[in-house]
Amino acid sequence: VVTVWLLTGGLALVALATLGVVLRAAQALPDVVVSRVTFYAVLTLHGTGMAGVSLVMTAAIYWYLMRQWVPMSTGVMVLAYAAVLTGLGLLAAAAVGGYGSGWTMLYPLPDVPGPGPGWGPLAAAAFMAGFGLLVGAFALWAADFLRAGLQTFGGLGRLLGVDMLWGVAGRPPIRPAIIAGTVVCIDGLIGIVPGTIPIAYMLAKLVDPSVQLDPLVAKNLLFFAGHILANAPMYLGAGIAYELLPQYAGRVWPAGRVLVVGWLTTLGLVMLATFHHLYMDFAEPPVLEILGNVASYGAAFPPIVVTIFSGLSLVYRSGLRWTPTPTLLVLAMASWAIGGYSVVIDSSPWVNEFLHNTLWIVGGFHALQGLGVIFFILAGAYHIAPRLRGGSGDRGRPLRAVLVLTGAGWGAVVTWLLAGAIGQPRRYPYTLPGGEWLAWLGVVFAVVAVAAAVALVGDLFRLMGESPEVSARARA
Amino acid sequence: LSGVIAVRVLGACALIFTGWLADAVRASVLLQMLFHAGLVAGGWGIAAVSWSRVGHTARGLPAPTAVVIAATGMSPWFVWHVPALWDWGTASEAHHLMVHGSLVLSGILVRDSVNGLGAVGRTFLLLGSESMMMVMAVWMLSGSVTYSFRPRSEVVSAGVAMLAAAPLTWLVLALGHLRDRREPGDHVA
Repeated sequence: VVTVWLLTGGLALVALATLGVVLRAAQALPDVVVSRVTFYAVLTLHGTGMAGVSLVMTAAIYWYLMRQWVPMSTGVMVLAYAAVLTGLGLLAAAAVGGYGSGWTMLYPLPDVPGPGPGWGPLAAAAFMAGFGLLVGAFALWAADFLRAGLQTFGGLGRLLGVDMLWGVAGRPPIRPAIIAGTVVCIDGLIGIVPGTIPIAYMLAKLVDPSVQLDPLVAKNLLFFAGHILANAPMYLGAGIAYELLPQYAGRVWPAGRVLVVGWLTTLGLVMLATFHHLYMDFAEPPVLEILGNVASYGAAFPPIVVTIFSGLSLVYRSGLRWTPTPTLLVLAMASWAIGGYSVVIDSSPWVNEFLHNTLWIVGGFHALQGLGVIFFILAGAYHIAPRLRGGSGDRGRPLRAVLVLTGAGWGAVVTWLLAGAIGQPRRYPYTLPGGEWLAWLGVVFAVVAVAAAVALVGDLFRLMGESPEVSARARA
Repeated sequence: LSGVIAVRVLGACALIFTGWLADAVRASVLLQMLFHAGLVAGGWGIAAVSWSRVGHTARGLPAPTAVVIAATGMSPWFVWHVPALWDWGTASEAHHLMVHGSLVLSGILVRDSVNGLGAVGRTFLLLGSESMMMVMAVWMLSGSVTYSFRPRSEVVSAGVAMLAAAPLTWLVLALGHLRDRREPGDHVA
């Protein structure tokens, strides 16, 4: 099962990243590379597809790594895979139909696109159904993880590590990755229901245009779900690091009270941090801005203290061999810290006023998702690939491609951050005067990054097909 | 069994009567919500106390029955938020006593049914109810729901409070109810 997931995920991520290069090139050469209508269709497919595939790929890697501790169902993963494949097909069909609302699909845009973009109801329905299937696949995994965890460990208290807070003597601590996975599943499942409601309304409106929904309710519900689901893969990435980094560093990742408190804090604050996305909406109650700001700053502490500092301590002077898996894990945590900082800055309302609708957000998001989540996925894939044919470890050959991807990826991110700082607007199909050189530089970095990603994915595919003897010889 | 019923009837009457007298909470939607949550908790407590009075605990019901009873028990948490039902529930003192009665009964039914659900069932029931509460919280804080005789700002504040209460619920559960009291050595990872 995991082989099919890795093959599909690798191809999908490379294809969607290539669309990202098209978008950056379109901003450098407006109306030449693609038309403005096509730009938004490609933007929607790239953003939604990347976020959705990252989400389900981290879940699939988690499934493989954790199933000896949490016996999840293979059937559920097959079902989830079918949902992902169908969902991606529907998203691509929607893009072909010109659908270009972005993942945010603000009500009533999907139903009433206006004469400019002018997509049809079928394209809108395909997008919403495809998006729903991707999220549904994650929900299946999350429900199955909780079910298997609860059946194995007996209760949520044990899964969340709460007994460690009370110092139960004689019982070994639960694995940190199980705590992280449980928090992600709880938050994800709570977020999915609110997100489903506006989508159901909008699907109903396609059939019966008289259906009405308060636009602010629709936006708040969608962003509540969207924020949680966009954060979920990063937290699952932390779980992947908890599980893999100790194996390479030869040390134990300490699971103690600080880790449990950190994850319990995350459990609550991730939901409340949603409101940093909504400062621009004057109709929101002001108290939500305060809640969003406090929760956003608060949510930054647990990952820094519990995951990133602990991870660095684990690696420090451990004699770790810098093969692709640990290298990618450490680089992913660095991106989490640096990209996260750029996003937390934006969660201050007075800064948000200047930065939120600029390319700064695109930079921060790509640092977190592209150089964070994708690196966690690649790290997991490099750990898993040799084991699929009975091998035992990854090896150092593709490190050059990893370093090129890191350098070019950060180059692209910096062009977005700089463009945002000088006020280049977000989601425009062209660049305002003064920022053209950054757009061009961004194209160069993006092309190099995608080339490195293609090399890495190709190497992974080769590893997956390699016999254990060849793999062992190569490692030696 | 008659002892169980007697404790429940007397406890429920006391709670409902106290609620009827509690004019202070009519000052705001938020206070009313807190008071109503107290009625549910009171119902839960009555159920627990009534079983302990007769010397044993509620036995686990078969899972399908437990799910139906738990869902029925939880339904008052949601239905009274529907504006038309809110209007009905606040139309007269008699109607509002019925609202209070349904909330006390809700606590009793949920307490009686949870033992039959098992860890998985309880978790998904909790997740489902919290998701629904989040939906209602967002609806209220967005100012999209209005209730008779109440200014919009009050409903918005109540929505924000509900939103903040949801994560707090997890913290309270984690620090209290989710504490694993089984013997060391069980379920080792």
